[in-house]
Amino acid sequence: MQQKIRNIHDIPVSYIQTTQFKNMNITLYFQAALNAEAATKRHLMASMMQAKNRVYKNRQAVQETCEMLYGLMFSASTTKIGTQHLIKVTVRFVNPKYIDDPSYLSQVLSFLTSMLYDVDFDAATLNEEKRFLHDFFNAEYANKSRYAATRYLKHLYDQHPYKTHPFGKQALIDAVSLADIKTAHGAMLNQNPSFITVSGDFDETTLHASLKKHINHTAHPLNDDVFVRHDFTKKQDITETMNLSQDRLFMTLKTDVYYHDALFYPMQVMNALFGESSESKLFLTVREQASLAYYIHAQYAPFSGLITISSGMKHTHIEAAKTLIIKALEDVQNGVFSDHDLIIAKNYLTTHIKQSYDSVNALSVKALKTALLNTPFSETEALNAIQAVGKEDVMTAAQQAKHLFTYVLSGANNHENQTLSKRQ
Amino acid sequence: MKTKHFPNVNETIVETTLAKRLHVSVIHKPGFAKSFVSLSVPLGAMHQQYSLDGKTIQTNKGVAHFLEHKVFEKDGQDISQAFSLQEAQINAFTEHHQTTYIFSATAHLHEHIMRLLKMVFYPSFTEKGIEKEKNIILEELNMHLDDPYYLQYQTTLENLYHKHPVKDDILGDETSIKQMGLTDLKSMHEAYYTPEKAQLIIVSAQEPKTIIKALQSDQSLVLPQQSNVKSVPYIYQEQPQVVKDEARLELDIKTDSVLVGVKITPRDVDNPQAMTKDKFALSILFNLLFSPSSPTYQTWLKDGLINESFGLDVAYEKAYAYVLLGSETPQPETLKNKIIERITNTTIADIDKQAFDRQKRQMIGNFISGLDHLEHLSYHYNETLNNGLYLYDVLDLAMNVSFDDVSEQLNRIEASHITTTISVKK
Repeated sequence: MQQKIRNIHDIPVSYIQTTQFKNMNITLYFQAALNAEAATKRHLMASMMQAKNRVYKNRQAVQETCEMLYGLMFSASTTKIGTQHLIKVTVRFVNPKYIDDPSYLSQVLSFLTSMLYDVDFDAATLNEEKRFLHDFFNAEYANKSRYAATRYLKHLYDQHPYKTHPFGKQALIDAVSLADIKTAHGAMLNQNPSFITVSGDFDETTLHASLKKHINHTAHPLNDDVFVRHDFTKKQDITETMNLSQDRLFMTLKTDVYYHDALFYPMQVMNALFGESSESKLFLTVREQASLAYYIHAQYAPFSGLITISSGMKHTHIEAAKTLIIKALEDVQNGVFSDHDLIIAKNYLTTHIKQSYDSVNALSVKALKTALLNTPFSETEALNAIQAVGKEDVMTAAQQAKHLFTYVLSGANNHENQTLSKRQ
Repeated sequence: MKTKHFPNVNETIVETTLAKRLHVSVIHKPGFAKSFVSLSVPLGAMHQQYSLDGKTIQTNKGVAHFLEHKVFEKDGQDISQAFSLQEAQINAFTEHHQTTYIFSATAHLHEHIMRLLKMVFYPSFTEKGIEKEKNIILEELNMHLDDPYYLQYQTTLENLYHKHPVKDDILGDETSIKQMGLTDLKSMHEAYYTPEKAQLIIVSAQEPKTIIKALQSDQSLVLPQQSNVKSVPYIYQEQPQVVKDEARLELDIKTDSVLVGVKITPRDVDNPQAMTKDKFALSILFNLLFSPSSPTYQTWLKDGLINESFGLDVAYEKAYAYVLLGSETPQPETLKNKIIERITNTTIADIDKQAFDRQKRQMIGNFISGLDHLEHLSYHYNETLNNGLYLYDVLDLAMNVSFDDVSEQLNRIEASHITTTISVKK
């Protein structure tokens, strides 16, 4: 596998060349600061780009073209990394070497760039996309696991720059005008920093020459100031109730360990040992030994320095689970784990890192993170750093973790009401 | 050992039968960091009986899923740790027709395969372990009960089928989970977890013949003896008509939704080519009627009758077949009627020949794309092997589906084969 950065009109293009895939992926990222109003407009604009344009006059024409291009997968959506909001425009398509049509790649590139540049925004499509976005947020309520996570994040990030959903805010949807959409598109092409990734099996020189003919927007350097060191203060725990079969539990640990910090790799190993995998302390104690839950999982987020533990269980098991979670953390802090546990945690991370190079889509995201975070694309450094973590390092990392907040969406009062009520 | 190369997609497989009992296929995928291995056994949620001394014995709903959980226990310990210790992650899933154990590994492939075979063929169940697992599975069930789409799906299956066990929840229910005992698990394991009926599929960058030779020469590979406990083959006894044509659920949701189920009676189940062709023809038919490139879909989307949640799923196995389709909607009754009308009143004249050709192009692309996803590749390889075919030959079959084959599928569906579940806000 080889990665090389070249420029097209000063826009960086990351070419990730590898022979293992039969698909190719081309993705364009457009970066802006994360805030609710802009995110709502940008998400609606990306969705409208996906719907139709001057060449492909309606949604059906877009779909038919994707089918004619051998099931080409095209998407224009939004995501976020730390403080940054990203419009992500992707085509994933069959490698032209498997298609009996010499013009196939050219057709794919023409389609992609047409969807980017030949936009044709109108009020009817905007209204449709507004309806879909409302439906998306309303559907969050139906899925109670997702709804619980949304409520948890709302409380946790109430004053934090990360609080915005990448699709924006439901309350702001109706206010977005057609002029806002056009402005957002213009800003995307003329003001936003952008980054392009190409992954798959291709001849870089030929593809670069082809792309150069199609890409036509203004270059701005990426903003690599992607995370903030936020001083979270301890929060009052919150329990809310609704009609549920199972309580959803979220516990937050504050670590203050971020990307590039000395304890970054020890914290990853600590979290794997503590709660990330099915061999972790949390899984083995809460699920396997105490049979309190079907799932329990801890996720370390190096953009926020937080660890979130999530689980679902009977209301009557919540207190016992909380006690076991705190006990498991104390055990890791005090070194109550074996060398065997440490090897399992390190190997768990090792295999995940190695496997992360096995998808054309994942390679694109990896290249973006490398560009934003100035981390090496190659796996070698990460693997070496993880293998170098020792028991003392893990204990030190665990000692940084302090309980910040507990949120429970509970079904305890489900016979009384179905409307959200809060107990603090 | 047999090698087959498929030049149009540049893929090679090598297959053999270990100890003359266990079929193994190795799909060569140079360049991938991980190897992906699956071992499937023909015990699914629809199998709830075994035979002993000529007598058929009924067990509990959910027994296949419960067994899947307990196969991971060995002497009170979770075996998955041994995989993790050497750069592998193991998991499993139960479907209506089979159970599959999977792992991905970035090192020690041979040791992991041996570990998997021992785990699956030589489990050690204990009463204590079974009792502890009941709470875990009940929590898994509770998690699903808070999902309105799951409830709608389950209700639809219950109203499609009179007796067929595919209507039962894969997990079982609270009563059946609590009743699960050691004898149930042991007997079902002996009856269905037999090497002759299992499929071992290895997808790896490593040289296939080297992998197979290592397995053949490993003296520790001892497959279990044949048991006098036997599996009970499922005999299809369903009438084509559904149990009832409509059900309504009042749920804690913000948008109403519709799920339409179409019951298909499987045919030609002993003719793999014919059955596979039927499956593709049915899938193409429903895509022509309802996919995002169809005029119907686009009209409904524009009219606000559906949104982007609209989905279509075709399940086609030897033992059951059905089509599910539905969407969130502000007008559930209207959408229900329009979907049913579109299915039952379509004639060959309504089907667009150009759209048919586009669907075939899309199938070629999707097929090739799927070869990059080792999990997807392994799953579909297993699926086609169960039907006596190679995955790589299936694309040719799909390309041979004619316009007439597609329109003929219309003859298999009547209004009495269709049920609808409407979920409305409480």
